Amino acid sequence: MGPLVSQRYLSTYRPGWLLPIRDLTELVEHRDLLSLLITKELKIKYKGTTLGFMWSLLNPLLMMVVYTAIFSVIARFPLQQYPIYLLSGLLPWTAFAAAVTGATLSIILNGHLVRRVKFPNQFLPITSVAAGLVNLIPSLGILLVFVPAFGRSLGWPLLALPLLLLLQAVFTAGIALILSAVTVYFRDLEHLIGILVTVWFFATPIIYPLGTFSGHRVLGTLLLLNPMTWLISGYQAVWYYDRWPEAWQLLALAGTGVALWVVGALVFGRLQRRFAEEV
Amino acid sequence: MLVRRSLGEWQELWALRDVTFSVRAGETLGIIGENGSGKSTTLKLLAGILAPDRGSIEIAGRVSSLLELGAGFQGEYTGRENIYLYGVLLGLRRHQIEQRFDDIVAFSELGSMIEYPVKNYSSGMYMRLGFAVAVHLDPDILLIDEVLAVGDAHFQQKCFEYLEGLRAAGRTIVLVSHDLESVRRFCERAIWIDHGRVSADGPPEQTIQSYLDATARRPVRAPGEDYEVPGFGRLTGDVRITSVRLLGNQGETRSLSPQDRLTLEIGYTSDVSSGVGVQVNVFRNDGTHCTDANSYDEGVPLRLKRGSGSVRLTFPRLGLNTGTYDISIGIFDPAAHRFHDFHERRYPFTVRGGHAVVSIDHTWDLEVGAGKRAG
Repeated sequence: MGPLVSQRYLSTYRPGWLLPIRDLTELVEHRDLLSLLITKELKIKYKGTTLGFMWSLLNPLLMMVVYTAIFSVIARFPLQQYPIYLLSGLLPWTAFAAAVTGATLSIILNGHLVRRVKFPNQFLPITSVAAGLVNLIPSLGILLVFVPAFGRSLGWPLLALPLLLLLQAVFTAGIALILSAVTVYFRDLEHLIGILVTVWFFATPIIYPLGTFSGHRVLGTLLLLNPMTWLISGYQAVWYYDRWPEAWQLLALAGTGVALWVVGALVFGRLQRRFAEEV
Repeated sequence: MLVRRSLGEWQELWALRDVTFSVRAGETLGIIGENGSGKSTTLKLLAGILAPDRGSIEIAGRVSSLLELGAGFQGEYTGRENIYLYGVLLGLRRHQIEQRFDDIVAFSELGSMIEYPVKNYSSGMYMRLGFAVAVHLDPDILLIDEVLAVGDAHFQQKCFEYLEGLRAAGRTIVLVSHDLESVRRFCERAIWIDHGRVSADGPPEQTIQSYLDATARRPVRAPGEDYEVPGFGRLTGDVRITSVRLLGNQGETRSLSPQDRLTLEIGYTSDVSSGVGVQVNVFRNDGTHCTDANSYDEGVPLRLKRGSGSVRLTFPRLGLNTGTYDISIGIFDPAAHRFHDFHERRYPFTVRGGHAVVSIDHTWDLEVGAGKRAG
């Protein structure tokens, strides 16, 4: 049994900014780690529960029932088949929120690994993002059943789904990288993140239609500048309105996502150097 | 540089400074030093877990490190799952781990326990799995911190045999240890890190000797200084231990064998004329209290006169086996129940020979029964 790898593993550790490009090759080399971490995350999430993975379907359904019950009594939005509208935004949002909160804690919760083994730590927040998406995809099956059941039509715009998922992944990963690294130094974020995500939820047209604040100049504009509005509107276009997502929203989302990823990689690379001491 | 908060202020603490050394491919290097001297930090830097604030580190080859017991196992995971986790953490592909899986399980001697969560393992089992995983994933460079101190003698022996094999195969091994004997036995070269700097670098024998010499020369505590022997209050300072020599069969030494005679020559200066007791405790480096001698308890009268002199304590046959030991010496006033002076674990020595804890004098006798004669 000869050595697996030879001298091509030449690493130099120096102070300073780590080049994101070197991290990329590291990510490729460790690709089996990612699948293992995702399996682990999902296993742990449903460990000991009777219904297991079914919870990722049940949860949004129960939320849908609650919100529908509330909003058909308190505030009536001018929307036909409100549960469909709600679900089409709520499902991707749940994946996003779970990924962001999970990523925030990911480095700290895996401190024992970070302290003892050298591996690309980026995989920890990225695992949270991937696990969120792995949960999201089968739950979209609910819509596939519900939309026709509520008498609404589905069509070609469904083909935009893979693109929406990809954009969601990139955008979420950028945020996850930044939050996970910053939390190591600023632990208060761990407690703040819950309230931030809640605020963001209400600042995104998920339970109400986009036009709700069009009369209000500031709120209306803010709503349109929210990247999650672009993403969620895309899903709503596909599932609820049966039309193609707005091109400008997708482009803006792609731009924001890539920018966030680059910033995230830099911030993470910089802060990573002291993880082992801080966690 | 470590920046730590103390009393609301930030201060700079250099865990390591001006440390420069290189290790040839295929070399076995030992790193010795006291607790907090920077040994483990050095290893973490080599492992790439910490990044240096200044300077640089270059490494050619795949590094596997066994920095703490268990290498980062997940308690909920079975032994099997942890083998895979550790493998992929090191950057191996699944199929590469599969090829080595059976060897790892065989080496760890865990048998069917490999299918149980590691949280149910004993510390010995944990350690065996950790070692088995770290050495079987074919590192070019293996970094080991202390871990060999744990585990039974049989497994320790097996580990060293395996490491010998890796060394023969040209792998590079860096071993951090308190156990000077392991370093002496196993390493081709040793460096001594003291207060974040390299104090000695050379053949293990030499490095260990300078380490032991320096430890013996540590400044003697000022008499009456704010030092308390637990349960006995502050030192009186009336009698001071001024020198301590360890004498073996051939004069002063710090390296002994179990059969050797060991004489402690304790020099003192006394301001009073009075009866004293002298107490000597021998500890192994893992904290085990191995033996003690107490002149007062043993009914030996020691009456000091004002001025200088020396007390000798002799163990005709040491009896302690392979290991690193430390001696504490105290001179006390039996009537006042206080210590005049106390040197806590300040006199280290090593023993080579024997594998059990101690060698106890013994005799053999053979009695042959009358037996039956045929016919």
